[in-house]
Amino acid sequence: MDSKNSYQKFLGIFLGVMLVIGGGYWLWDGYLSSAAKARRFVENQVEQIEKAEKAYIAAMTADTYGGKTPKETLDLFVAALKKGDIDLASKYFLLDENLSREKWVSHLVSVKEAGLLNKMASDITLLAKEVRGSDPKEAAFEILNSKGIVSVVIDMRLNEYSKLWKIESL
Amino acid sequence: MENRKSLRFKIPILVLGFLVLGSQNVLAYGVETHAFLTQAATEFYNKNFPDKKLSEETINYLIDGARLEDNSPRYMNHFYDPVNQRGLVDLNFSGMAAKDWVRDAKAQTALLYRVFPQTEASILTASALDKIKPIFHQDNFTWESAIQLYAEGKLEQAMFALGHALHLIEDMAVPDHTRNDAHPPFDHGGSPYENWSHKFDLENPDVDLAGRLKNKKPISFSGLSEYFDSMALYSNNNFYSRDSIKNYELPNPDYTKESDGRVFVYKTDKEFGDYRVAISLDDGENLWKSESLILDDAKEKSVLQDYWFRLSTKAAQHVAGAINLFFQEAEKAKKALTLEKQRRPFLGTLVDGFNQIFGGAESTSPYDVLAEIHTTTNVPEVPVPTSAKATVGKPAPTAPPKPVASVVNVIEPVVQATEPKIVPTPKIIEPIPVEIVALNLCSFGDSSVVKLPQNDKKLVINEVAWMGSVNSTSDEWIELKNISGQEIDLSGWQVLDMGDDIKAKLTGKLVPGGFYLLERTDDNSVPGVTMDQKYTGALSNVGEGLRLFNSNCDLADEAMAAPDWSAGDNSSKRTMERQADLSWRNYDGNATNGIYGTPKAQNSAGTMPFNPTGASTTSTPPPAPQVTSQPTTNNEPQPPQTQQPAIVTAGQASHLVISEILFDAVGADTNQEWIELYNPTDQAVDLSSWSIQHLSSTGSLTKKNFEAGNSVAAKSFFLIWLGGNSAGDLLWSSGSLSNTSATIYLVNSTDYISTSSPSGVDAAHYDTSALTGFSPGYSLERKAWQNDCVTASGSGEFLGNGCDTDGSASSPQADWEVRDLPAPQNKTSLPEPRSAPAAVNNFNATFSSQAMELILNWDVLPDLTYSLAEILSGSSTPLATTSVGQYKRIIAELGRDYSFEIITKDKDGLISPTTQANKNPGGFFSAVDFFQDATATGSPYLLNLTWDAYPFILKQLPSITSGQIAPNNWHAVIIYYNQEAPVTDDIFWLDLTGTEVPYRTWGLHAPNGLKIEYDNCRGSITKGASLILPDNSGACNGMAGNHASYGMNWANVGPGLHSFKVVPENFITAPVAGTDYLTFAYYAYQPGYEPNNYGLRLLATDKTRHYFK
Repeated sequence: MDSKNSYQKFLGIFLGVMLVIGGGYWLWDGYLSSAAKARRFVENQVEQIEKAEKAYIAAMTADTYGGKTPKETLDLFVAALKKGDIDLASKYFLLDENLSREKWVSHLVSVKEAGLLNKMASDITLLAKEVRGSDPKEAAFEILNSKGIVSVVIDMRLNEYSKLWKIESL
Repeated sequence: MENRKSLRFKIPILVLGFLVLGSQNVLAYGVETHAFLTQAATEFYNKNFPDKKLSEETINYLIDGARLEDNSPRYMNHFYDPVNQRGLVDLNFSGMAAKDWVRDAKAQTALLYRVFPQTEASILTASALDKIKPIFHQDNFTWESAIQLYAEGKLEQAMFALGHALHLIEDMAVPDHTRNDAHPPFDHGGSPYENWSHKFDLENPDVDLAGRLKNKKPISFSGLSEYFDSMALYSNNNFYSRDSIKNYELPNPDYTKESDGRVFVYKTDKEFGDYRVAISLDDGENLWKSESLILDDAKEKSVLQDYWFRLSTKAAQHVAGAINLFFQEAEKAKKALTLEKQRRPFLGTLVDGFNQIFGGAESTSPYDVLAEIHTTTNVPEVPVPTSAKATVGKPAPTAPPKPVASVVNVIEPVVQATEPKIVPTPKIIEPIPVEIVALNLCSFGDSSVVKLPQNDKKLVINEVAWMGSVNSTSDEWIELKNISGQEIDLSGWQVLDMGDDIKAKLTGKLVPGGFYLLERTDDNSVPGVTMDQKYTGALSNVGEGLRLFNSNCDLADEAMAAPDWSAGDNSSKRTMERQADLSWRNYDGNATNGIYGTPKAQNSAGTMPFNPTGASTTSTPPPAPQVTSQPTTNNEPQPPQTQQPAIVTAGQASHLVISEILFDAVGADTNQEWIELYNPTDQAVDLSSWSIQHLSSTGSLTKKNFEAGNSVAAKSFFLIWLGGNSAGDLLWSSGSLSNTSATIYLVNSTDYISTSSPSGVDAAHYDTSALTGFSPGYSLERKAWQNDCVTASGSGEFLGNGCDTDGSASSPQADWEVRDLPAPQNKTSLPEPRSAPAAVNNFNATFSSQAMELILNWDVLPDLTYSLAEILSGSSTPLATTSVGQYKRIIAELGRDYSFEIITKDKDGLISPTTQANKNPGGFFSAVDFFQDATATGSPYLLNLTWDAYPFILKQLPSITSGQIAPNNWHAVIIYYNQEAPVTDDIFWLDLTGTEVPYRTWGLHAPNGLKIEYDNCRGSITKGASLILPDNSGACNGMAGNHASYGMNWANVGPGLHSFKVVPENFITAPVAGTDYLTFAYYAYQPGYEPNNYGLRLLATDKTRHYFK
């Protein structure tokens, strides 16, 4: 019995020491060492990109607002403006990198408050001229001012995930 | 181990994620654009350091290294905002500052970088890859690793690693990377500039870049960090990225200009010429629009083109300079390593042997040795010359080598600097044998060069056969003449040309009146005349220049072609000869051995130059010399004692003249054409009964009468605009100028001139078929008068347009020059010739601790703009151009000198001398004492800090989310021991339960932090490397359980001396010596991070070292 107790005691102490050593190593290796900190830093970076990209692709794929040509999207946007539907009109803008259209909602609200929503719709309908460059995924509508100078540029970009054209900036 | 296990599951997912990301939309210049830029920079390096040329194979390793730095996810660390001294900080993304990443081996070798597959393919051949196999998948591609590899003789591996570092410098030339604009890879169009620049790669290079670099030199700094700061400040301060237009104070646009139906916002740029920084939509119309400034649209990319023009050039200059710095540092390291190996004791060698066999312990890695060398504070800041070479391997001189010429930067011997701490036996240390030898070449483009006045000229360029001879266009030669009256020792004299193709160092002595003949390639350029020296390199027929430097590298003489040579004729191969008044003429004699010139003989009387660069001269013969007197035998420069009376040239206008014409605009001419008049006299001229008339080559005549009240003040301008433009003093609404050939007449009546025998007060004829270098959009400008007809551009920009040698309406070309940047002047322009504005008065800098700003003030005068620059490492970095008398510079470093300079510019661009202001903002403590109290029990180390008011750090930061200042606020001082206070990321409070892994406790974050003790708000003792300071009594709360509890007790924070006990078990394991020191970093509390996440943001580091007493 004595030898059995002694053995159990030894085993207990041994396991305890091993647990302390192992735990210490785990703590050091995983959290406290400079290598662990650097590792966590990198992990965070990777996870940030991955998370942001997945969310972006999902949101862009699910985006059904827009036309198959730049002009179609612009016409839909103007129609929403004429109805005074800011919520709908803002949906024709491209999501920004933070998956937000807050900037455009806020802008359209200020246009509406200034009583310029109908003028905006009318100006775009009557004056906007489409221009294209070398990039097939990019287009723009331009409006000239009274001196014949470009005054408004409505940048359009193809949402490659939903294959619909979106307004990028105004 | 658990951590590694979890990675086993995470990594495949993450890898998949990155494979989806692909490589085409990287967060930087495109991979292949990096390849092109790196190649261009290496070619530029080779041109400027011909004695240390990189081979093609070596360049390939550099290029591949630069490409592969974009492997995922390394590019997260490719950002550096020099204004806020940080890496990428975004809602979704963050990364290390590129400036730190380039040197952080621990971060680069983190596990995930090693396990990720290469997302970019190498372009090296299999055999080339073999040579870098040991490091290809290792991710330590720091600057130091490249140096170490070079020191070990692994050149290919070193170049591959260096390529990674160069990539990062190139990224600093992307505004998105220096303006904290994440533009993530999946957000197509996030960076218009990067998207546009993707077109340039090794297959489709920007062929113009080499031309832009032609007159440039590599930018030289003494440390790698300076390359990052310089390049990043340039791109941050002078350019926008799409999503950061409103985020930074700079750039400040200078003016707007219409072109192609758009209003472009311009910035002035003395170096490259003014450029478009954005498109303005801010016209007060269509008020429903959102954007007022944009960079591009689907069609219009000229702003991006202007960006690339400058940023790519600067990138190549920086990268070439960094390559040179690398070889300087690497050579030192190589020497040190060799020395260390020689002195290594036998046991060490034995250990090395074991390590090589069984895998070495890291402690024996020579990286440590090198790190010590490179980080030692004893290494002097060595100025890197632009025209000097370093040769290593010869015995050290006993004294620094004396510069051969005053303008040549010579690297001083760095014997002491490389004296390493690594060898503990000083008695056997020999100075590392390093000799730095100057190449002794002066610099053609050095704007600071001393230019000898005309009456001090001793040796001049006397005759130039830039056109070659009848025998061969390659038979070029240059003749010099001693006009000093004394023998000249030519040792150290040099002839350089603009493109650095010709670099001739003269030898021997030259008697008074003697000639010195330099022939191209061999002695056959001038048959029958023995040359004094040959040279290599060709003289261009346009856009060229020759400069003669004396042994002090003072500019002794020059002959410029801007764009055309002043004389000489390419069609008849007549040389360009110097006259006694130092003007230039065409040789007017017969040919000898195919040479139309006088090599090593007196110059001819000469004829006035006409169409020198070689446009047809058959239709209109050269005009006869227009001189009032002419020596019969010898017109060329003479020694003073024999010099003939100077020739008086009848070339100064004495009446109102047509001074500049833009007759062919780019695109449609409507509203684009104009005619400028200049009044060189001292009297105003009334134009009210005059007219301006246009006679086309077909005889068609149109005119515009001047209007009542039209006049030109003395030495002033008048602008006639065809069509409409508010700049015109007179609008000729129906007028139009021929795009090819016509004559403009200025007539002192309103009658039509006779088309058969036209005449007027002045006339200007143009014919594009005879105008070399003309393109639509260029103007024709009359030259200026300054004792002779001189260029009205560049140095002659403000000399007026008073050259009038010809007087013939049909052949006035000799008086005119083509101008690629037209500069119409009207009645509001300042009179010319005129002098520069005076230096700025009362330029000074004060420090506002409330705003953490240096406030620059100066006296303002009307109609002047002021350009500010900060002097960083001897170079000026533009800060702002403004018309107000104040500028605020946010700073992030205390305890160091700041230097600024200011110039003022009048509305036509004439620039004042520079005025400088210096300021050291000091620190926040009025006294700091770090000492040991030997009288107290246990002889504790103490830190006494004295502050004169409380709170002594005043700047508060608003909440990230609400934008409001919190009612309770804290500041913190973090104390560092024996190191510069680092620029860190934001610091977060650690939940000591350990569940919030990414967060760190304030102060414990500081590596080598000096932990002190102080009474806190909960009545216990806080031990830490941060001194947490509540701003008010409400911020001292014993019940809070966070920083509010652990801050310094409110009862103790008042002004005066505060003594803190240094925690004994801290970093001070050995007795502290007088060379040990403390530094501080000051932080401010910033609320609004996630709930329960208490953040500190760095306000400033303090560069003052407080030594142990």
